[in-house]
Amino acid sequence: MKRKILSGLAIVCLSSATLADPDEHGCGWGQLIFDGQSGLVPYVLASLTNATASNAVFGMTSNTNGCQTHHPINYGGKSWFAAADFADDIVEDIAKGEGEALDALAVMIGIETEDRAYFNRLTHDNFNTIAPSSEVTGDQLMTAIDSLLANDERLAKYVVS
Amino acid sequence: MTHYRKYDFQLFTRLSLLILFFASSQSFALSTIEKLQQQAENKKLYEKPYWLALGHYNTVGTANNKFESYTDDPGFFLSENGKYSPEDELKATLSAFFDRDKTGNEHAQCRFVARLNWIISELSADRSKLPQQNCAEYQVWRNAINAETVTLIFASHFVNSPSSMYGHTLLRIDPPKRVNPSQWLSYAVNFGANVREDENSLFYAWRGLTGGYPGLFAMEPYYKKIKQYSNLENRGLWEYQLDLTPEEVNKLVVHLWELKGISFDYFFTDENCSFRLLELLEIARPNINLLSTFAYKAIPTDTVRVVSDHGMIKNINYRASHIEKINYIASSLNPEQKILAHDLSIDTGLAEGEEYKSTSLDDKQNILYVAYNYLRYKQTKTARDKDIAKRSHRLLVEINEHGNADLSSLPRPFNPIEGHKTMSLIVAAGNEGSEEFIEGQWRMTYHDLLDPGPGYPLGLGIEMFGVTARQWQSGRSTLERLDFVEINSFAARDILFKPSSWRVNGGLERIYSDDGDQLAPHITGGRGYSVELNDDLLYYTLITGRYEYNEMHNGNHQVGAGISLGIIGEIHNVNTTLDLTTYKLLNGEERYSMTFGLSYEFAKNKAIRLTAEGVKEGVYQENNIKLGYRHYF
Repeated sequence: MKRKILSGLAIVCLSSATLADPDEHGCGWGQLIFDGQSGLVPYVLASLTNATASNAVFGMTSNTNGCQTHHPINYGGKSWFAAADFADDIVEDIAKGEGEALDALAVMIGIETEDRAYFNRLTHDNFNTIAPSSEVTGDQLMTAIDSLLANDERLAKYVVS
Repeated sequence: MTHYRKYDFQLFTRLSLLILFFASSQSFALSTIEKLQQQAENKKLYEKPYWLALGHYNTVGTANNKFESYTDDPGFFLSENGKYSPEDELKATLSAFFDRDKTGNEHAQCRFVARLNWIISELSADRSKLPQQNCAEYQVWRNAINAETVTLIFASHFVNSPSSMYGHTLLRIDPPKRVNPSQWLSYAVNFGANVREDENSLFYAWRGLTGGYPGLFAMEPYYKKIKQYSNLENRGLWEYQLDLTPEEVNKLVVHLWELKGISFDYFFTDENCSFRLLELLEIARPNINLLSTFAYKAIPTDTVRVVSDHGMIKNINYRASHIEKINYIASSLNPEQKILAHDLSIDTGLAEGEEYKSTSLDDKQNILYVAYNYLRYKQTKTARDKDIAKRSHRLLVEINEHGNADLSSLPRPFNPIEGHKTMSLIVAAGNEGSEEFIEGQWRMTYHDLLDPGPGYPLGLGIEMFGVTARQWQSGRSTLERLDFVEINSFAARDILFKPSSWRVNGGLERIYSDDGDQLAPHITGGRGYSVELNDDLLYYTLITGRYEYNEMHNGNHQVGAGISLGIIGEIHNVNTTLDLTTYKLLNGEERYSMTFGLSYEFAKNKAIRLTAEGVKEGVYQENNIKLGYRHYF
């Protein structure tokens, strides 16, 4: 009997906690708490289950409600989750050789200020490798940038391995 | 035996020491609480403005000037009576800080960091006397935000949605520039009603007016806001960097943490996004008074203006909408090139053609810019389209080869807070037929097509709650009109963009007749298109519909249909409109009106306006003309 009451209480507490927590819909504070993973970029990508990352980048529809994604953001190169959310803008900036989306990506990778211009130029010059077709996905895009950096003498240091 | 005895004794002393220690620490803790409670009582901390601000207490609309918090969320109060008693809440908060049953993230010290900081400093208390807590979640959050500066953002008018036609404000918290020059990753702090996605806009406006929604603060990366406002809704974003000191920014952020998941009633007109942000700014800088001017309405531009009047704006940046940028680049193309850009977005094979290949590099960059971004624009509201994706990619390959268009000298529009103020009062004199009159009008908000243009988009008119009365030469006084709402949204069409134009208005207006005039409630709406004759001149045509309640008609109710056409012009400080309207009611009555208006802003917030109108309603015909002074405040 007592047990029943207790479990009943637990359920009430649980549901009220869920109700009070806007993070359930992802439009509250949830995005702020990043995972703290310090692992490899490929590892992070592999664990990326959100649909946007494996979607084709071109023609992505703007995500309007902002309540579906849990992409954490981090400064200093630990998490690329957020980048998947504006992968189409990143590709556009790479084509142009500059832009705010590319800046944001550089910040997320942790590229130091003095290397940013070089990073922009490197990706710009390799646009056709990074985005070879209109069916390129977020995963492929990130992997391509990752291996571009890994094979570059100056920027290889930013790829954690 | 003695051996055991000794052991027992040792155990006993240890236990008693332990008990003694607990007892003393407990009584010590109690005395610390009591001491602080006493101090708080002596200083009447609960009456201090900052405590009232932290609890969002106010006396607006309460009986006997009693305090009540704007928050309805029980999670925000530690005392059961906390919503109504700043005093009880302060006492409960103090005790909760010493709570030994809860630890870590759930502890009041971790939940109410701003209260903790403030009470400690007010009472000059020793923080180390409190039970120490590990507020891991809070720390992670603080580190992620990495706040250094705060920017107030104004997202300009979005007239196609009643809920945001006045624009919207939010805050952005920026990390130090040296760490991250990209604002895309800054956090936007948004106060909004928690609306279900399937609810339509009109319903939203209604429930918003009546406080039917819980409002919550939410944070998300700024790039999401850019995508939403600049790309999807085509609204420019004004970014006003505030001059808050690091200490003030800290106060704001710390209090923001206390508001995590806390709901407020959301009222569309006053306790809205803009109002709540001002509360946050008052938390950041305790000795300013921003809220007092907003008793019953808080229009976004007005709230930004107040912040500006307090000298809190350090820097202004404007982020043009997607369409603005396309139009800017397109304006440097000649008509053939514009068509080429448009066609190129449909058939990228044209990139192999002579016409494209023979253009100069600059023109090529501009054509590519327009073509690619036009495709993006087309894509924003539809599901992914493989063919559009293919064309986008092809155009990016071209851009990659030829370089991007130059947007560095994109003009910045007139700062909206330097536009005319939003309430207005009019005094006019004129005559109707042979009789003279004096007219007075008050309008609660906002801007009509004749009002001074700077700071407001050409072709946009939003008016709510206007009263017009006349004193006639013969001595009688009449209520001329009662306007509840009038919205005019005229956006020009061109090769690339085909927005529709519309107008809606509802209220009471005077209908002329031979057996006496009548104030008739009506709703009138129209939809059509506009074209730009030149930069400052817009032509429109609308098909209109009308419902009218009029006791002079048989059966009182009448519906009708008709057509309106006109021009809107703006040159320097002079605005002009000419409107021709005709419609026919189901009972056969035909009405015609021709209205001409001319307004001259001779000083800031002061304008002279001339209006001439000719009306024919059934067999009745009348002309009137008036000249008036309009004051904005």
